[in-house]
Amino acid sequence: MATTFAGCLGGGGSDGLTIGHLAPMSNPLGIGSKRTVDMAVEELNDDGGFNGEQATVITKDTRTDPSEAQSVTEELIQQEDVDLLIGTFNSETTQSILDLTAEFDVPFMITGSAAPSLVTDYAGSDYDTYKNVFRIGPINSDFQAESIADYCAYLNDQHDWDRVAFLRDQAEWTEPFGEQIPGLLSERDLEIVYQDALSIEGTDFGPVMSDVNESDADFVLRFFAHIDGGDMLTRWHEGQYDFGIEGVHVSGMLPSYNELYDGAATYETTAQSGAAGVTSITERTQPFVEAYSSRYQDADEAPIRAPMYMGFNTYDGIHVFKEAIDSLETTDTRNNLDDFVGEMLDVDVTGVAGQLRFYGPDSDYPHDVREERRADGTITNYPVTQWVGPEESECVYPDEHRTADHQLPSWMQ
Amino acid sequence: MISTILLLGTVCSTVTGRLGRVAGTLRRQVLWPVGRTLERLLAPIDRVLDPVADGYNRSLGPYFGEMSGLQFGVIAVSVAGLLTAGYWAPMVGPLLGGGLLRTLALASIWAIFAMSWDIQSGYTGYISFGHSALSGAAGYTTALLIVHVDPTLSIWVTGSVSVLAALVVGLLIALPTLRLEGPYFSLITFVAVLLFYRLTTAFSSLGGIPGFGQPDVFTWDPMLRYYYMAIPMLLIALALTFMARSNLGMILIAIRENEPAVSAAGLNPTKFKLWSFMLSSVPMGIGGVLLVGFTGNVDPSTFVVVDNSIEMIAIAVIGGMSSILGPLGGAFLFEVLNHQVLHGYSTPVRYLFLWLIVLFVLVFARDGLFRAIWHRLGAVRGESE
Repeated sequence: MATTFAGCLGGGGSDGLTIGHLAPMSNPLGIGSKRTVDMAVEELNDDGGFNGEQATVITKDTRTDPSEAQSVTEELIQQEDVDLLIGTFNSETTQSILDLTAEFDVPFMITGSAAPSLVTDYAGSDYDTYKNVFRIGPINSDFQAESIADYCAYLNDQHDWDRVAFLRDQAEWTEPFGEQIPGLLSERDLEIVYQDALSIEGTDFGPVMSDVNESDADFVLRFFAHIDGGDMLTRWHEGQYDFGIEGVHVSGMLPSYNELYDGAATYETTAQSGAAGVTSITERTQPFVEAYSSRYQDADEAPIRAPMYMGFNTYDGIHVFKEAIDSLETTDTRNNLDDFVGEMLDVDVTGVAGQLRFYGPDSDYPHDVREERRADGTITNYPVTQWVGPEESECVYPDEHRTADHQLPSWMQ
Repeated sequence: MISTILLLGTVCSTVTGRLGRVAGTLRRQVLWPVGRTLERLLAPIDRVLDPVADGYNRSLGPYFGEMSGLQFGVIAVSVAGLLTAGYWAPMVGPLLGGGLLRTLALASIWAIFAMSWDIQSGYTGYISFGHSALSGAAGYTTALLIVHVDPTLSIWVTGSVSVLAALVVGLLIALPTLRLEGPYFSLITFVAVLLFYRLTTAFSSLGGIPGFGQPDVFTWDPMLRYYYMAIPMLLIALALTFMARSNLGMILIAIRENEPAVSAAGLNPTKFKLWSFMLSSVPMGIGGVLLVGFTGNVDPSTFVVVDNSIEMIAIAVIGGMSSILGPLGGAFLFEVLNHQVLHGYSTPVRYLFLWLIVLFVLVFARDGLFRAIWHRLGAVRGESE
């Protein structure tokens, strides 16, 4: 009764449902995310809408700048009166608007940032203030670290690789990796023989490659989101260095990346939500990727063949939102935040990047997307892809989603 | 090689000559007639406002500078506009892309920075490229107090300590450098801000690139936030105008125009330059504290990067150096252009436009737009100010 009454007062029904999408629009991740939010809303509008209402999407460019993100978020909340905010890429930008969304009780779904602190330092330490915040994906960096360590163990099984050179961006998002990877690898009998946090303001890969080579590492495990590893890959192919390049490489997730670097990315791997659409993570993955590529095949801007990981998560976020709204029976989320949160915690949706369920208020990661584990405890929703040709990549990990075995670089075979 | 240089030189001089002629024609055939028409229209208003301005000139003129009727009118309308912006900006905002009150609040903070820079660099001619180190010192002090001492500390405590920190950093930069003459002062201030930037990014205890998210914003209510920023800005403008029009301001200008003459008059220029730096550091600290309350995040790109220092100079140049109120106007023009008028463009394109405007002002209106307008307003009836 109270809910219905508040819903009427809030005017959610008469104003229509407005979704604010935040992304860096000069970045292909942001472009992919915008396309998928448009796709999802269009499909769901055609399919009866959100609790019967049609939604409109307003996309604002955060320009990966915290201050710009704050400015456009204020505009979306105060002028556009949005019922949901979705998106944001780098953790610094996401962090800058958490207070703002909490202050105005706007549901906020994070689809591009993985720093656990976005959950633990906010909803984890003051649940009542930050209960509006959910993370749709990817799984947070703590779980990513565990999953990557399991992947390293798989590489060891495949190729007898047990000597690791551990490199990462010197940035907030890699801190959990810096803290956890050494211990996780040592538990799996893998040895770190070289490690470095590289400046994101420009790194000369010449000396780095020499050092890694001298360390006699079997493979480089690197975590690059700010750094474009293209220079490293070019040197790797030209020098035919005797080690693999594995881990996370956000630039390398661009579907046209290997073409742009004339094949220098061939044999590198990267873990990514959605596995670039090369495998059927769920029964919905392939239809979604086909719909995306046929819709945007003639678009001028990348990504054309599949959205990057943020696009998968944003698409899933809109579907989760519909599920919650339909159960809530009103689109006025801001005046019914507690009920909305309750519905979100009951959600169990098959998305395009995996199964979506969220951690409750008392967990270590309140409102974070749950990792999926197989019976032996191994995390399965952080798949790894490997470039095998100019336009082709394969999913090499985990077993459930594998389309091909991990390949050694041609000069090491 | 030499012939290429000669050829380039000839081309450049021809192009500059042509440009000069075009500018001359533009001035004679467009600007002067427009100016004369405006003067004819504004002269009666000037005459009507004269008695009010006379009253001001007799009472407050000696402290804040004398004004003509029209100048007084413009100042009165501007102050009234700023004081009532909380009410009119939400209505006008949507025409300019929305969020106007946010932009005006940000402009108020930048006006404080630009005016503070002006009282030191604009008046003495010792150009500082490192002023963002001062606001950065205040911002980081607030953040460190909240993170490491007590998150519940009152703004009056953190704010006062932060302003004091800006003053201390100001003295640290000023004491060894202001004895130097020529480009050395500018170079050292430049290095100081680079050092500060590297310090914040090199040690994770200083927050690194993401900085500190712990400080709270003053408020998210746009109207209240605007007044939190605009009222201190107006008070600082008043105080700095008073200082600039006092004997101290005269001496600072004298240092810029002829430092040996100041020494010859028995005054110690270094002492006065030091005063100007301290006078500049305090409002820079206040601006830094306000910026923390505006963004709620203290990080190198918001507070320290040398670009911020250069932006302060750009704002002062656009408005008109050594005038205090010129940089104030410059800040509002710069921020409204940046965040409202050019809002549809990407950041690099917006800054390209803005730097072209700075270049345009440097070439064609060296005294700054608002100083030029101010002087024209003072001379609409053919009298000079």
